Amino acid sequence: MAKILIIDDDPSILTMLKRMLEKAGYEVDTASNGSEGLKKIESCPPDLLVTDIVMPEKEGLELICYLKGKNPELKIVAISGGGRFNYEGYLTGAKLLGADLIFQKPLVHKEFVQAVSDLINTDK
Amino acid sequence: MIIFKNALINLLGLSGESSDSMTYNKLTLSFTGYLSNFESEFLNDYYIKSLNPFRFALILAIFFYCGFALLDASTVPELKEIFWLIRFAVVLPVLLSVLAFTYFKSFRKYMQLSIAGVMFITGFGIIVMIILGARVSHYSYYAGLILIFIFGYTFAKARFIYASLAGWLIVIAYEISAIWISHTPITILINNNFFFISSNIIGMLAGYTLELSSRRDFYMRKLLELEQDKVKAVNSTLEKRVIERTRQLTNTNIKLKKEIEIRVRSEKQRSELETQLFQLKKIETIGTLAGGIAHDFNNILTPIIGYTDMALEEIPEDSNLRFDLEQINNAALRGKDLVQQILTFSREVNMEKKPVKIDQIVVEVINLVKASLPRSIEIRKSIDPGIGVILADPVHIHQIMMNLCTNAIHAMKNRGGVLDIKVDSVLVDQKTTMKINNLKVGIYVRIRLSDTGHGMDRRTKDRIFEPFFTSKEVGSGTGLGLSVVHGIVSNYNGAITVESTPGKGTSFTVFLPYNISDPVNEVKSLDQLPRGVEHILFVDDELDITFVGKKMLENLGYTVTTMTNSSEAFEEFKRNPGEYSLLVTDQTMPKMLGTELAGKMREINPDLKVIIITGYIDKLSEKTKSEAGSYEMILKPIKLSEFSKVIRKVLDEK
Repeated sequence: MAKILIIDDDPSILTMLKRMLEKAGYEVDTASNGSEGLKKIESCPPDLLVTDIVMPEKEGLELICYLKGKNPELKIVAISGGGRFNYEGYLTGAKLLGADLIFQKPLVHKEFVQAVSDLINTDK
Repeated sequence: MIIFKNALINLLGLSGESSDSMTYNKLTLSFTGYLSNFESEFLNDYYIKSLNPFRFALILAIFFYCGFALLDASTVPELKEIFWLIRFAVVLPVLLSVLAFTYFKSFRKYMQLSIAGVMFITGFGIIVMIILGARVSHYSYYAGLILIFIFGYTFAKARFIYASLAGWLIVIAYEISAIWISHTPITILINNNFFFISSNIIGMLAGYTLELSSRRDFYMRKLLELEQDKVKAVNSTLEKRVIERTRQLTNTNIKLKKEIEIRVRSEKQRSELETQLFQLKKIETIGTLAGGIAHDFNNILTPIIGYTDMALEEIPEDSNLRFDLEQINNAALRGKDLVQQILTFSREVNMEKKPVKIDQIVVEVINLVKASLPRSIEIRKSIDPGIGVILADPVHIHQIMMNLCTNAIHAMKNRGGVLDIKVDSVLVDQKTTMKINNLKVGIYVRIRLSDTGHGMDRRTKDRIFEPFFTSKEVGSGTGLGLSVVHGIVSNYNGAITVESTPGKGTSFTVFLPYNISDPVNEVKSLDQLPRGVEHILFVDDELDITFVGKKMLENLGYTVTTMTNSSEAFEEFKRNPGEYSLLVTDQTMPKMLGTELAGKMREINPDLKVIIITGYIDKLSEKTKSEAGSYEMILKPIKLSEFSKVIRKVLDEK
């Protein structure tokens, strides 16, 4: 069973995504900020990471940059509600820094789950 | 001695400040020093004043001299014949001829001499009678001489020096004849001399005083005249100054009025610009705010949509809750769309710029709109040829046109009307950019949409570009349309303006810049316009305009020399008058108006073709208008298609 780690500072989104992906049949762990997420990745590396971008304590872009530098094989999906001042910049940035998929919040449920499953099934 | 002199001066009434400063010869009484120049004027004046009194004195003398003939008959009957001979045959003819002489011009020169002569001859007549009378022991005729002195020194108006001369000659003549000819007894001689000499001296004093006072009068009058002249001069200077000052004041007043007018106008312009700027800032602020809210709002929408989606998957097909959940989901999705729209005007759009044919898109949109147009609404379009292409995202242009058309049609929904769509390219100068915020000098595509709808009031007009502001009823629109248009136009460094009159209609004008640095684009935009190779002198005080104008005309094939200073332009033209085929000049420039410049150049080369660019033909003065009649005029903002055509037309004219 593939393992997914979700990082988001919004607990309701975190719970929702956990439930959504568990239902799709994945083993899901969560973290509420970048630092916590990094610890979990290091102790128990996931097959795929879903991460928010605007977060306290190590935000998403930094995290993506770090993880991709360390392990380019790690599949990363970036999600964001948009920047406060530069709406599209963060997701575009995440894509440039190596995120495999980017999703604008609010997510369209089916699209999202389908894209995640496709990504997990592709061999790197 | 000094005491005596002073006493005499006082006695003669010669003291006083004014006579002190009057300089004259103490003996002849002629003016001396600085007054000597006035001597001839005084004499002339004295002559004019004396002429009539002298004639009167002569007649009086004739009367008395003849009247005394009666005395001769009674006192010296034995000698009366000879006395009468003296009176009527000698003296009377002399007096009559002198009287006649006074009516001749040359008398002016001999008047004093004549008076002295008359005095001496009449005196001498008396002396002869005294001598003859003495022979018959008659000595009373000496009194006649006293009368002569009285006449001579006073009435006759002889000048002091002449009268004195004549007086003393008479006295001497008497002495000679009394002593040597008639051997008058010594007592009589002494007695007569007493009377003669003393009356002569008194006469002299009288004559002296009279002439001096005449001279003093003259002198005082002269002084007075001088003072009057001074006063007149001062007055006239004052008047001149008053006139000059009044003129200056009038000019200043006119200038001031003009300045006030300009101030009021610029103040109005400033406040309009401020309002515009304020609106822009407001829109920008709302944009930034909306961007921030969008992030949080998206985060809020995420679980709503996510959970409802999951719930919908799990719920049985026939559950009553399914409908409710679908409603929640739809509402959340609407919210998501709204956020997207809000962001359209606030974000820096990542534009895919490519050459876009504006006229094509305009026609497309018109066709699209026409399909659903009520019959009561008519669309008219006028699109200039040679609009060419601009670099833009066609979707954006589409969006702008759709939005503006929809609004216009909405405004005419109830009453019907005409939507007039005009597209042209214009050269925007500084004077135009002053009125429109955020616009730079350059060439722009101008799209104008005017409807004859309900229009709007000023308050509405000021706020229409704000997001969420709508004048439509609830449910008809989100109020984002125009703010999106505004956002797009601003992103292209263009501008949008609105004019509206309640009840009459509204017109929107969109300015979209050509990317002039793109040569491909440029050629495409200009290649349908008439071209040429002539040398054009382009004069405008705005540097930006000369840059753009030069570039534009050079792209049409012309050789262009630009000048920003009318005087320098004229100097250049004077150096090479045959070099230029055409002068294109702005009308309103410091130093020289366009028409003046053209006039001066035509004096040198009458064949020079001229195009005057002006903001308002109405504002030209009558004089300028008649001058301008001989030139081709072009109105600002300059439309490229018109400009290129006029240039060709003017150059091709014979």
